[in-house]
Amino acid sequence: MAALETRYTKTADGTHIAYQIVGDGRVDLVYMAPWFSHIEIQWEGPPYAKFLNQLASFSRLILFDRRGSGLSDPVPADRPPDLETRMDDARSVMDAVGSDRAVVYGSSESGAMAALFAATHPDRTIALVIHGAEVRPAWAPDWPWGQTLEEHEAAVDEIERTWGTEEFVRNQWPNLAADPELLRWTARESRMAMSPGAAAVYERMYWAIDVRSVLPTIHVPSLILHRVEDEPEQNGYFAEHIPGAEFIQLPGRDHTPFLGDQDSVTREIERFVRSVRDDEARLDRVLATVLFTDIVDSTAQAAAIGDHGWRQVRERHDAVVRGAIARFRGEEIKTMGDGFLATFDGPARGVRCAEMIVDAVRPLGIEIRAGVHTGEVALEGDDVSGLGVAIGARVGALAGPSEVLVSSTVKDLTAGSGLTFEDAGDHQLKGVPDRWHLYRVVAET
Amino acid sequence: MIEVPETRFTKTVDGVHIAYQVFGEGPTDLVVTFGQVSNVDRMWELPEGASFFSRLASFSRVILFDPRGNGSSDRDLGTASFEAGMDDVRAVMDAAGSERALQFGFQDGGMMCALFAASFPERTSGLILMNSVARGRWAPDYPWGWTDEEWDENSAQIDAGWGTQAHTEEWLRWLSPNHPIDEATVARYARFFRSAASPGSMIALNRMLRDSDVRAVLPTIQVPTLVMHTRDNPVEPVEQARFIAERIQGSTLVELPFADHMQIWEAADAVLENAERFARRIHDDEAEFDRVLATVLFTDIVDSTAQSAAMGDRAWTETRAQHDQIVRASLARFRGREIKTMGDGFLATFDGPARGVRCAEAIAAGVKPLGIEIRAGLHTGEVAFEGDDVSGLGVAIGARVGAKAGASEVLVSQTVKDLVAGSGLAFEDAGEYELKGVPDRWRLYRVVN
Repeated sequence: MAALETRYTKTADGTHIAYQIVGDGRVDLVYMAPWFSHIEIQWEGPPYAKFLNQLASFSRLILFDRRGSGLSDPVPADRPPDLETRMDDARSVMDAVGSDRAVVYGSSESGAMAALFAATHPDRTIALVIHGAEVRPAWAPDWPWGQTLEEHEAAVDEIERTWGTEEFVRNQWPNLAADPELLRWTARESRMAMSPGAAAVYERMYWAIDVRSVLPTIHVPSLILHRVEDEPEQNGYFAEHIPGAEFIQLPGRDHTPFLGDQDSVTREIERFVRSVRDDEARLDRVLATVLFTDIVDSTAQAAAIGDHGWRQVRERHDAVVRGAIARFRGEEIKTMGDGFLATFDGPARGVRCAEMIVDAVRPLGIEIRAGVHTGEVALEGDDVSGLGVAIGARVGALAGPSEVLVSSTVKDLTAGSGLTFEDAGDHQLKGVPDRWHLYRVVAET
Repeated sequence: MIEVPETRFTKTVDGVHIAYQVFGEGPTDLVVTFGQVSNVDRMWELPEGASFFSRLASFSRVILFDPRGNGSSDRDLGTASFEAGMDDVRAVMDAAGSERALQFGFQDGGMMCALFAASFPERTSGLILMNSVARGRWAPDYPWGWTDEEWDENSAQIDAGWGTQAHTEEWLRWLSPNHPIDEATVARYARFFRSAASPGSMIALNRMLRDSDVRAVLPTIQVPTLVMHTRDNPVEPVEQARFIAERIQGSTLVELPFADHMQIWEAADAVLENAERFARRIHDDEAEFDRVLATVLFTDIVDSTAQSAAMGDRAWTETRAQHDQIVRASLARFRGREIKTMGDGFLATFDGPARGVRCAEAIAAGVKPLGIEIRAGLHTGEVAFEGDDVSGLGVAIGARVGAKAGASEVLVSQTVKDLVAGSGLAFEDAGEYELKGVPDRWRLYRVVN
């Protein structure tokens, strides 16, 4: 696989954040790397690379180093970035890569931050995935699953003393001792990501985190997964307190998702992401009024006028249509043969636009037919699709010369707008279920 | 008389500074384009100018500017053109924060306005032309244009006497043969003319006008248009207005009973009356255009008074805050737009009805663990957005539908049910209702999970 390009974006406070994009899936997945990261070195660890490639196989995977880690701008060692700042880093990267909404994925130390992100930015969060994380690292009388202050201080001292060494890796991931190469790579990544002093301060900040009160305010689809022997109380708490969260307990005790049986982890994430993606596609539908126009008998007309003359007529026709669409605040989607497809956010304007085009092209010696329908359509880039579009096309095809036909939906929605209609009968629309009652627009006198 | 507004400058895309003023409260934005002679500061020193602008300001927000080469805008630009003039209009509209405006062109300024209306229909709510022409030079099929000799003669007069008392008096008498003119008036106009353009720029502008021809764009103008012209115009015959009106589809021609080429003298009242009537009509049209199709969602907490009494103030405040958070999070997730809170409920709009319904379901389910229930109603119809608020019959219907819903029930109008066909949402008949203040009987449907 070719080396990924690393780019930088700048946050509102002027900090540079390094990021990469992998894969071209239809859903964005923001991977919030836990603890320390280096987006280039992480590709050099075979199980990590395999894990990330697997995630990228069903998404557009967005990777970044939070400030103070890896390739992003350093931060003063005594001021590690709090959760809010790190959320801003994630949002800057989303903005930089044009991601309006993404699935956010946090594991271990970054799980709490992913949860906070989903609670704070539901408008940017398609769904939340948390793997093997902690709600609150510190012990409290009502939180017996955390570290006590003494344990914590001892752990920080140990981290500071051993940071970046193989001893550090052996302490944190005992089963990596069996794989010297992986052990050396992990030690190297930690050194490249943070210095010992920064690591110690970061650890102290993390210990103060508590996102328990945030969890009930999360209202996006959520998946909590962990290995059943890894901090079951902490992970169970996430699942229990995020409304509607799905909880998956995988066998084993590995804390790191890509260690041990990583396939079962990526399989669950893939299944979940695909289901929310399908749901998201349904949410992408908007209500729009579609207008189809077409020149009547254009082939015969073109033959009669001759190529040169016809080209001129066509150009003037196009100018008239575009002028009318602009005047009535429509959006030109595309031309098709001799006709146009446009959308409007008000049905009355779509009908008035059609009427104007009918009148305005007549002096050119041509006539158009037009059809208008309002329905839910899917926006895909600059194009629109969906049953609503197909119905509009069929309605337009049934119109006679200089006639504007509309569906009963349009007639109902424009009640009170001063437009008048007459019954144009019941029709079968090719490829569309049911019979459709159509109406003819009656010109104002 | 209104106060003389501040003159500001804006820069066009090609880097030219344009002097402009914005005054009047609206409702319609109106861009005034004078032709060859313009100076936004000096025009206020003409009593009839100040009174004309004040009247315009009484029914519109006026955007007044000096076209490039004129008045206080950058001058001496070599060859000007109407194309560049359109950039001037766009720059001042942008500077004034005007998306769409009525274009009001006087005399040769009207040619540029016509071109603008044809080129930028999305920025033009309507077009008014006063004493305008379609072409500068005489032609067999445009016999009202000036011959080359007439243009040369006009330029020679400018060359010899522009801005002098004598030339100004002669010029004013030519423009308005019947209007009494005293020495003070001549002096004021001489000063104004000098401040609008130097003799050299006037002659350069003359050359541009002579070579102008906007006849071809007239049939492509598709905005409402009012063409006004003085019937016995001594300088530009009224036939030109008839020519223009005939070619702009659906335009209105008004011939004013004056023998004057000056719009702010004898014809001023008639010009203003017609312009005002037209501007009001455009404003009504635009208000209708501002209506968009939206799905409105109304939610309300069931029995909130009894609930709050039972819970006590403190607990109720806490519950309300959690309720609001759930509603807002659901709106964010389903891409709704919060319009406002009303009592214990929310009004929100959606650009897709299915998302509105699903949002209502999510809220109904989400608040139940708080020990409260909501009722919700949805309707899709044309609504008017006014700033951050929304109004219209569609909104009233939504409110009534919501009021009919029971605890944890989501009711929708027939319109919503029809529009979401195929979305996988299921409904059951909830009966026919009279909706207070809304005509007809309405069939409502209950969302079934």
